[in-house]
Amino acid sequence: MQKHIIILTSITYVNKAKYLLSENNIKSYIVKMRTTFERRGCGYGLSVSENCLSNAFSILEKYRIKIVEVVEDID
Amino acid sequence: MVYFDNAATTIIKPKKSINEVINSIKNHGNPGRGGYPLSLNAAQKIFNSRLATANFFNSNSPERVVFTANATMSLNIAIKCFFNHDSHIIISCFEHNSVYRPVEKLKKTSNIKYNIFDVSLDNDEETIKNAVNLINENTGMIIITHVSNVCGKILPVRDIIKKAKEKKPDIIAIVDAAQSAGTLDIDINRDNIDILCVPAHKGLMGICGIGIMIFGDNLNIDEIMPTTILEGGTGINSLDTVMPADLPEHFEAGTPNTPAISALLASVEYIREQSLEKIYFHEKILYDKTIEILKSFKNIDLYSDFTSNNYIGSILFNIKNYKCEETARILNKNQIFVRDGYHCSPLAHTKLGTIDTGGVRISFSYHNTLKEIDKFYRVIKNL
Repeated sequence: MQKHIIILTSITYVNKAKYLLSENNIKSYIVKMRTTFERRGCGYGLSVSENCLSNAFSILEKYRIKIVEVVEDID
Repeated sequence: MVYFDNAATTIIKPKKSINEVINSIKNHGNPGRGGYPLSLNAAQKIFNSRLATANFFNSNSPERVVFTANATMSLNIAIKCFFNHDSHIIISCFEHNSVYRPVEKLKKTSNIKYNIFDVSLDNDEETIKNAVNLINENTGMIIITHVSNVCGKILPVRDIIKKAKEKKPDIIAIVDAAQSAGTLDIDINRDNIDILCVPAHKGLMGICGIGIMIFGDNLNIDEIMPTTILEGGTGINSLDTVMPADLPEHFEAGTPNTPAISALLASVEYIREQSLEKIYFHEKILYDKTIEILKSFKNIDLYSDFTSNNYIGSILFNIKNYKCEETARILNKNQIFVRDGYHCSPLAHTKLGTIDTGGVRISFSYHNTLKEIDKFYRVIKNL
């Protein structure tokens, strides 16, 4: 199944997002991003399955977690 | 050995906290930097510790928990990064030097003015009035210790802050909970605290080397745009020349103390398992018993009390015709370890009338026992 990586502003927010998604039964895992992403964020992202992506956005929005970018998980 | 210097640091730590330190030293890399398991696991552990610490003080915002080197550093950051030039600050007469000295320095370097409010030892209403009456249109900050590290007096912080914010809604309320966290109930949002500063190694039973600074939900940090006093690597926005605006990284430069932060998580869990109420009542029994003993001697000057529930933790006394260091030396010789002198709080000793003599402080933790107080009694009665 296709996955997407949600890039957040800091490792703290990546872990917070992972925790909130897990509380809502959405599985995710932390991945290290290419150096270019560290310019705008923390260089970490949260990999989420495509079928959970919309739910994940809603949860992160509800908790006011700023998303820097969403990219396709090519791994 | 009887250890009665818990106001300085607690000696007995939960076993799982010690195990966490060892585990962290062996298994954690630098958090928030690498993409390999040792680094990611460290970052995860730190987040879990933030979350548990936030919940402990009833906050839902782990990102508003900042880890520093100690409570003194937390207070320095809180004061120096959030004050306004030319503004007015209010502090209590029981502040530790970790508040008194930064404020004194700002007075000399940044043209702030500050006032010290008197704490009534038996009338909280008077204390609240004393604090609120000092607020003027320039007052930007009020800093209050929750419990005196010298005599154990509990200050009515919740009511002081409530009245202060009624008079000046934008006042920033900073609370030094060095002597109360882990013993008294603190709810950062219910109590209207803007910045709570706490050490890990005292009542929270963690290890030395980290302090905590927690921001209340109502403190609008984006609007205040606090400066920083420590800059360096954070693992994020690496090409920028300034610290990131995001919390907690804005205030956390350099490699964090992962072993101590891991231990804190275990300690907070331990306190939750034991319950704050149980810890408080245990310490209160020890406190009241000791006061009762000290009051029974005519040759003892006592500067703490138990006539109300407004004291916990530390007791200050002197024995007539003995210098405080002599009393401490005799107790120490008998394997009862106490602290004499000024306890880094000239303000408190001025208030208590002991600025010329200093005093002997005994301070308890959850792990002290009534049997230890009996031993203390047997030594004291021979003096």
